Amino acid sequence: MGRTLPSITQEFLQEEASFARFRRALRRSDQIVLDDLFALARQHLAATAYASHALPFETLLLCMLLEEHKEVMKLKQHMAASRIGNE
Amino acid sequence: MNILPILHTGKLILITSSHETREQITVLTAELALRGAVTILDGGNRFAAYQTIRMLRRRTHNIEEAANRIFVRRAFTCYQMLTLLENSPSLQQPYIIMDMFATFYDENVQLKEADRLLDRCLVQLDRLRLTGPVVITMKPHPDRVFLFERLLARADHIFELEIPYPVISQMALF
Amino acid sequence: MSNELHGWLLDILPNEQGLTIWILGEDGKRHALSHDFPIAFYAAGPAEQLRRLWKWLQQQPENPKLSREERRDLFAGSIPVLAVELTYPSDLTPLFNRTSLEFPDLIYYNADIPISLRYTARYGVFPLADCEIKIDPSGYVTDIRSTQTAWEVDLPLPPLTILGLEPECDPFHAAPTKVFIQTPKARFSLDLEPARAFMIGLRAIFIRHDPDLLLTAWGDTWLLPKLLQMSKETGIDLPLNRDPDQSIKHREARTYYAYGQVIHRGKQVLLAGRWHIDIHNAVMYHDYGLEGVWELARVTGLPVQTVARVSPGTGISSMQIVTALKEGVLVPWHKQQAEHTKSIMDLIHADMGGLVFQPTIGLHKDVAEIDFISMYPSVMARFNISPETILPGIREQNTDLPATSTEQGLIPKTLEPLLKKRIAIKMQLLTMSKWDMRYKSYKARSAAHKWLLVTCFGYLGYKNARFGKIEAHEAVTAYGREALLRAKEAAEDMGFTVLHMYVDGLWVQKKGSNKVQDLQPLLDEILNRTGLPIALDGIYRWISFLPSRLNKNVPVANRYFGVFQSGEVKCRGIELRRHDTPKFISEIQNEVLEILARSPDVEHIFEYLPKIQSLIDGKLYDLRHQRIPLEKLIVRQTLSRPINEYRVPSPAATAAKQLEEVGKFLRPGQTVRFIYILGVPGVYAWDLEQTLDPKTIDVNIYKKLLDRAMETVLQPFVSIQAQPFLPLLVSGAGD
Repeated sequence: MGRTLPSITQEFLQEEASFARFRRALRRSDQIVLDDLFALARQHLAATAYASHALPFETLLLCMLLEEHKEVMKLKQHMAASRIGNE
Repeated sequence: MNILPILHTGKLILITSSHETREQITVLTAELALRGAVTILDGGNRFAAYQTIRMLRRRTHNIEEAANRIFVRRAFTCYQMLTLLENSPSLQQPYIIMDMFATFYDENVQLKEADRLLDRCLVQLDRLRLTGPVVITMKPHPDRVFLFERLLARADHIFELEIPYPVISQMALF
Repeated sequence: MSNELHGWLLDILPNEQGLTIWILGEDGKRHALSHDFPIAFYAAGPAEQLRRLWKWLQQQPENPKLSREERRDLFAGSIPVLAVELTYPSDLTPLFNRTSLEFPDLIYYNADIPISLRYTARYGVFPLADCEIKIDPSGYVTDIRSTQTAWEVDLPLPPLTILGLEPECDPFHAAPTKVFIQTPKARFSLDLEPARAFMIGLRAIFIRHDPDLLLTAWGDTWLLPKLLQMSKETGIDLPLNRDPDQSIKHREARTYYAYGQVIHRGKQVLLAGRWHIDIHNAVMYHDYGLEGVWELARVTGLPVQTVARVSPGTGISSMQIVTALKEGVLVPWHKQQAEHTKSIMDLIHADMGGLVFQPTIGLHKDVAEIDFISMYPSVMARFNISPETILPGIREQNTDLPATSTEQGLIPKTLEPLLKKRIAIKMQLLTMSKWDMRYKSYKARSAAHKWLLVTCFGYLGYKNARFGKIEAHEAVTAYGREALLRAKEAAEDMGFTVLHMYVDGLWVQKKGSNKVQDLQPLLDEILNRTGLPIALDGIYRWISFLPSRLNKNVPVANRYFGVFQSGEVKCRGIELRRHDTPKFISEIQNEVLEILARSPDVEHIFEYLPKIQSLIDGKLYDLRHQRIPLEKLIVRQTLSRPINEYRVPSPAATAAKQLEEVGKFLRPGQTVRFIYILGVPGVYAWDLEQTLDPKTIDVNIYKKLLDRAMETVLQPFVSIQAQPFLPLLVSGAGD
């Protein structure tokens, strides 16, 4: 019995594709940023699948935020370290 | 295709198309779920759960509540399709039978056997529609047209969906 | 007065009157014994229809014995059935076929069970089992029992006589002119022409050796049909069958779709009284060989020559049937069970496979890989998951896992002894030296067990499985996900970083944990939290998780290579694991990995790069100067559909078309072999018989393939060197 629902990867690709029009109207530089955001979300597909949220895109948005925040924390640490170094 | 106005108890509504009818069924399921419970019997292993929920999202904020009114059962062989129909209770709710014949097109199932099983399925369809409307989607199969024809004879309304008109040339800019 | 015979069970065949039991006696002789073996099928349904069936059956020439009985349906419990018993087993199929046509609406049980499974269930004997047999004066078996069970780890093999026959070359590539013959003592060849001389010679060999097993290459698809034809033409009888009363059975080739693949099985030639196995038409033969075939016959109860050829699922299904028969559970003819009602949210929760995480891309040191042992079968056995034990809609306390009933289910009951045997063999293998006499046999049997166990899970969800049910299939994955997450939590609680997780395996890392004993507490804790057996696969000196080829930032699950502390290389998802990669490429990739493995640690790897450089230079030189044997440049691809359905002909389709033009037809699921050549259409089918001029090889395509394979294994080390090393290594070489 084959699976009925698309795999989370397929679902992810569909969600990404549904923003094709949005992406097209963005500046080239912003397109790259958008692609980055999706690539970030992709790292958490297993968790997204396991969450089995009714609207997976909501979980994907959270994944993007999560990665963003990780980056912010890393930068904060970096800043703090260099401040100490300068003192 | 607007089925809702004719969706009454006692009606057997047949939607046939040589292409994908998932989209239409998704919309119909979402519309019905806003009003009450609906059961999908899926013969083609293609029920589009996520799309249905996205359709609900456009219509209501209370997705969970509506989603919990959509019920699904899947059949992977024609024997299972018959079993599904046989033990589906008569409810005052609509039934949607998706790709009813997909499992009947299995070439390992002989024509005579498919016909015999259909006989028994038809009895069940008549039972189910006594208490609620039944919507059936199917794709005709060139080698097994008799299945389609026999169902056709029972149907109260038939929708034949055309293949979408192919866009050959780009529309004029002005 | 009865006689006793001691020997090994070779085969069970229905004859006109009962069964013929083939025994290889202690005395070294082959005995064909008769055994009365009445068998029954059952019908259930409305009482009025059963009465009509009764009357109808009374008039049938087979004269079945009829009775009303109560029997156990796995799902419905005890039900009234009409039992139809036949004195002669060979009468069952014809009578049942007529019955089911006449009364199609009834539910039938035990209608299509292979006779060997019924026999195994009744007497507890199995192919190759050591048996004690009682025989009455007229030569009939009155009792048979085995002194062993199939679940013992060391089962001695009977002293079988094997005769090997192999044409000198692949008959689909070129016409063979002779056949190699391997007798128990010698290997020699016989010329196919003149036909009379060949047949006389072969006949003498058959009579002299009277083999139990005829082991051939292309015997199903070419050699045996050819021998039968030659026998007809020359009038020289060849005793292919040992049983003179039985005919040779032919099965047509077939193509089917299973487990997401198109599979092609060539036609089959099956013998009576001895076995025929064609090594090219046997399933997984390259993986487990004859040892695996013996083991499968023992544990499944299927005849040796059948089990060598069965499709995935048949083996495990046979084991389930034997369990059902032993337990007095009816074996349904058609599966009837349908899915219970689910809400859309239930569907989203349940319709999900194993968890596949994205690994942390890059090179990692001192990484331990731990795997659940046969995770899904263990889950079924441990949590009693079986189609009849799932309680629909009910959850285990304090979890969202599907609840199961307490009485042991059919599937767990079937799996338990097999799992125990597998784990026992695996444990022995862990400590056994590679030079131990049992090592190869254990390895092969372990591979055969693995094949059965892996299939078991898929089979639970297979639409035609007699004892399958989608809820049970979904429950297994739900427990699997839970186990993996609990393992992750245990690892993290104990200070490990989890680098990757894939369905039933975890790759973990912790500073200072690079010895086997450092991992033991984690293994214990996981066992404690999940109840499932888990083992350390090994500790990598280093491992590299690779990104997607299309996007360097996107990690890909299960694509990695690394070196264990033992120096052994393990890789997944890279070129050398793919069966379509030409040998030329996979051999070089393998060599490169072996060179990398010599480095004691990551820090010293760059010292080995010059060696790799010269290896690649040398191979490219050989390629340009036609020094690579053409066989190593062959690409093998499986046709996924009929040739005329390829919209843009792929190289494989083009090659298949070339073969079609010379009358060699390939079907979907079959493999086409070709070589990339210069010009149009760019490929040359290997099985076109003309010899290929090595100068026409398309060197650039092979070089590109090599570039890619080298990039895969070298990219993780590029950053170690200050200057970009990779372009120099591959593209720059010799250009």
